[in-house]
Formats: sequence, C-alpha cells, structure tokens
Amino acid sequence: MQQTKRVGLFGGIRTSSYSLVRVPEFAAFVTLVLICIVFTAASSKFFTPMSLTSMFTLAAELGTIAVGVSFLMISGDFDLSVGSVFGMSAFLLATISNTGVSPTIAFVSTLIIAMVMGLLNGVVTVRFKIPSFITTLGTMMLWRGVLLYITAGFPIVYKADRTLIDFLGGNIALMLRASAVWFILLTIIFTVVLQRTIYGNWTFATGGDIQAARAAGVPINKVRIINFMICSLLAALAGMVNMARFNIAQTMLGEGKELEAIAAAVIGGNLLMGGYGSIIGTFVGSIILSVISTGLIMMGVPPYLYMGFTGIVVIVAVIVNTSIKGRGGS
Amino acid sequence: MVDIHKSFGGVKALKGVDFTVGRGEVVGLIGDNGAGKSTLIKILVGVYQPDEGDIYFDGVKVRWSSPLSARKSGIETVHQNLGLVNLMSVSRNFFLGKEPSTHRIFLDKRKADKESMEAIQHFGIKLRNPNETVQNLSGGERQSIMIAKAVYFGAKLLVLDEPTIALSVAETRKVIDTVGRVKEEGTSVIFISHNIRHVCDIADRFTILINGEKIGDIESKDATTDIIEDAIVTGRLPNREPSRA
Repeated sequence: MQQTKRVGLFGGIRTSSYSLVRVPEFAAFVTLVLICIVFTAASSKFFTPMSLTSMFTLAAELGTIAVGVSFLMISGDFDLSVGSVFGMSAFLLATISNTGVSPTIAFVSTLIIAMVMGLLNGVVTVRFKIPSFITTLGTMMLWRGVLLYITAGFPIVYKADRTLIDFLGGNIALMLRASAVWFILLTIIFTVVLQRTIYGNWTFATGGDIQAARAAGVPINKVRIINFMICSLLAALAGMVNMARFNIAQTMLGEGKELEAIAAAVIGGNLLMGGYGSIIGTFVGSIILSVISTGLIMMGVPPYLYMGFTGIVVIVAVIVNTSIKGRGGS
Repeated sequence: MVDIHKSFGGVKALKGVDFTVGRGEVVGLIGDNGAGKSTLIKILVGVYQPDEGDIYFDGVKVRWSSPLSARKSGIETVHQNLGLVNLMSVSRNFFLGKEPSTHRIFLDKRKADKESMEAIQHFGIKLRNPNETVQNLSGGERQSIMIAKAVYFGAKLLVLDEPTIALSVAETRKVIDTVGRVKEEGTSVIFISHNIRHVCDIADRFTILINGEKIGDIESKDATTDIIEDAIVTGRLPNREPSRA
C-alpha cells in the first residue's frame, strides 16, 4: 500500500500515490511555468514588472468569474449566463449610480439582483430537473436580450462619484489593480470553504455522486442553488470591477466570458463532470489564459490566433490532467 | 414482519410472508429471481408500503412512510457500488452528511480521519490512509467501509444486498469476516444473496422464499448448501413445517 505524503496546503482530495503529481493544481502550475519560459525566451518585454502586473490584473478579471464557475462546476453544474450577468452588472452599477443614488447602494443592489439571477438559474434547474447547461443557456440569452433592449445598443458610461469605483478597480502599483486583490481574496476564501468546511464536503459530494450524497443526507438541492447564486454573485462583482476600470460598458460586454471561465477551470484541473477540482487550479488556469494572450501579442502574433492557441491549450491541459489522474488511479 | 402481502398491478409479489430477525442474528434471505426477496426488503426499508400485514421493530409496531424514517429507526442498507462518492476520500465519505465540526462550519478533519480509520480497522479492514480515494479501493473494501460506517452511526439492522457479487474469493472472505464482527457487536444482519455458499459461512438462519411465499426457515446448524438448493428448487425443506415467526 502506498503511503501518502502530506504535500503543501492543497489538502482534501488526494489519492495515495506519488503525492505532488496527483495534486490537481500541479499540471496547471507546470504548464504555466513552461509557457512563461517560452514567452520569456521569445520576447524581452515579457518578464518585466510592468508586464507581469498587467497580466495578473487581466487574469484577475476573468479569474473572479472563473472562481464562481469552478466552484459551481465542482458541485456538478454549469453556468453559461455569467457573461450576461457580467455585462448586466456593469450596466446596472453605472445606470443606478448615474441617477444620483449612492454608488454603494447601487453596488449592493446589483449584487442582490445578481443573486436573484443565480437563484433563478438554480431553482429552475433543480425544480424542473433540466440540465444546468440548458437553463443557463436560456438565461444567458435572456439577460443579454434584456440588456440589448434597454440600452438599444448604446454603451453605458459611468458618470457618478468615484470613491467606490476607485476602491473596486483603482490602481495599486505599476499595472496592478484592486481587481487583483479581490481575485486573490476570493481564491483563498473559496479554497478554504471547499477544503476545510462541511459545506465544501457537501459541494464535492453533490458533484461527485448526487445519489450517494442525497442518501447520506446532504441537502443537495440547497447546495446546488446556493452555488448558482455564488456564481452569479462573483460574475456581477467582476462586471462591476470591469466598469470601475474602464468607466464604460458596451452592450455586448462579457460575451464569451462563460466559455473562457470554463476553460480556466478546466485547465486548472477541475473535472468538467464535477466532484473534483481546486480553486487554486482555477487561479492558475486564469493566469495561464492571460499569459497566453499577452505573450502572443508581445510576439507580434496576429490577435485572431489567440483564440485558436487557447483552444489548443485547453485540449492539451485536459489530456494531461486526465492522464495524470488515470496513471495513479485504479 | 407479519403476514405481508404486496401486489403490483395484477401480480402478487408477496403472499402472506412472515419474516423475523433477532438481535445480533444474521439471517440469510434466500430465493431465486422473482421470489420476492427484493420486494420484501423494500417494504422493510420503507420504499414500499405493504398491502396487508404489519411490521414490528424492537417490539413496537411501525409503519415507515419513507426510507428516511426507516433509516432513522436504525435500518441501513448496503449495496456494493452505491453509497460512496468515488472521487472523495475514505474519511470524507465516512462522515458525509454527519461531518464532525469545529466552530460549527469547519470540518474537523483530524477527528474525521482518526475516527474513520479506527472504525474501519476495528472491522478488520487494513486501511491506513484516510485520504485514500474511494475509487482506488476494491469492491470488498468499499463494502466493508459502508458496513463500518453504518454500524458506527448506530445501525441496529443491516441489510446487505448481494454483498459478495463480483468479489474475488479473498475479498469475499474479508466481507464475511466483517459481517462476523458486526454480529459479535450485536447488530442484526439480513444477508441477501444468490450465492448460498457465501451465506452459509455466516448466517445463523435462512429464510427461503419461492414465488412470493415463505417456504420456511432453517437453522444453519441443520442446513447444508445442498439442502437449501433443494429447497429452492423443489419448494420443500426436509422434515419441516413452514414456521411462523
């Protein structure tokens, strides 16, 4: 019988085996290091403080969404509406604040509205027993449609008081923005929740084997619905942080983020089918995505290739993750 | 269970079956496919309601409306491949739904690891690492963990549904040993199986069903595999009146 070695902080779900390799974040971390080496070799501008902080800030914006998406994924569900919630929240923060209402109230109201959107996703999925993929595909189109209708296609500009806005998305040092802080904080919080709390155990179980979880007395419906709400909440936070940074939002803002978030989660070692994964992995996955896009630009690669390249990385990452799990497994 | 009748549509699955299990007794519920074993057990664990007849548990007449209420009374069912979350560790699975906590929301991992290992090793399963992922374990080990879990959480009656199916000889032996220990601790066990030899190794008594009727009970000291097989095929036990429990 192989003995487990306690490795690092990434506790919880690990199999007895040559420890480090089995940690879900491992493959992602190695990928990140490799990609960084390649880009550093390709461009002298890559490994500079300015560039690194800029990449991290970029990662933070997608990463905030990805944390929610991966947490939900671990409990077994998808949320394709995060992009629309993202855009809608940026719009709501600006619009409500522009009417003269305190931005703080606008902020809180938008978060509440987002939670209701998440609640809708959850209740419809659970109550009518439809795949979350479908429910959230529907709400993705619904909220985007509503946004298009209200804005009539025109972008929305933030014109109100800047205190909250600067707190949400202001500059910290070099190219580092407050969004980076939220990203790190959320990663830590949700890693702790997942690995160290009872609710985290329920989340793993609900995604891993929902029948077994139900039989064991886990309140699976509540867990799923709460996780939908968390997911929308984080997407809304990310949207408002985005508005804080750019001060303006196009009506299609956020489009495509849902798939990027899933890509980040999967590259980070999260199982698409749920029941296994890591928020730290998602953290690394988000950084990988932003590093790729920045690195390719620095190399002078045509921007259209970014998506293609990311696609290849996603596939390779999943193949590597799956084979690592497979080798040490049964 | 006394005089249990159950029909599904026009088919009479159980025709007045009596079934008893004593404290700390292992009873083998035997019968060919379609004999009604599964229906009888489903009624016992609260999945179905009997059309006629009563159930007494610990001397008290009960009527369970759902599997949850039967479980609350102390009846636990163990299936070989259902019940554990494959991607999670032994420790996490053991306490799933009943996690020990520190400060209310945090998982007391140390306690979970320690007590799950103690409980499992107590039943003779050689597992040393509470973080071992369940999917890496063998069918027999998984089964034994579920049994240890049920007993740890106070099950009075354990229903084992085909526990040795698809297990190797060594694995089967381990599961039978575990059941033996369970019996020593005073938990009652119903052992449902097609494999008479396996049941013979551990049961105190056999109850034989054919076509929804109980043919009879036979004490294991009076039984051999041949006698039981004959009983299933011919419907007759040697020198026996059908016993009323």
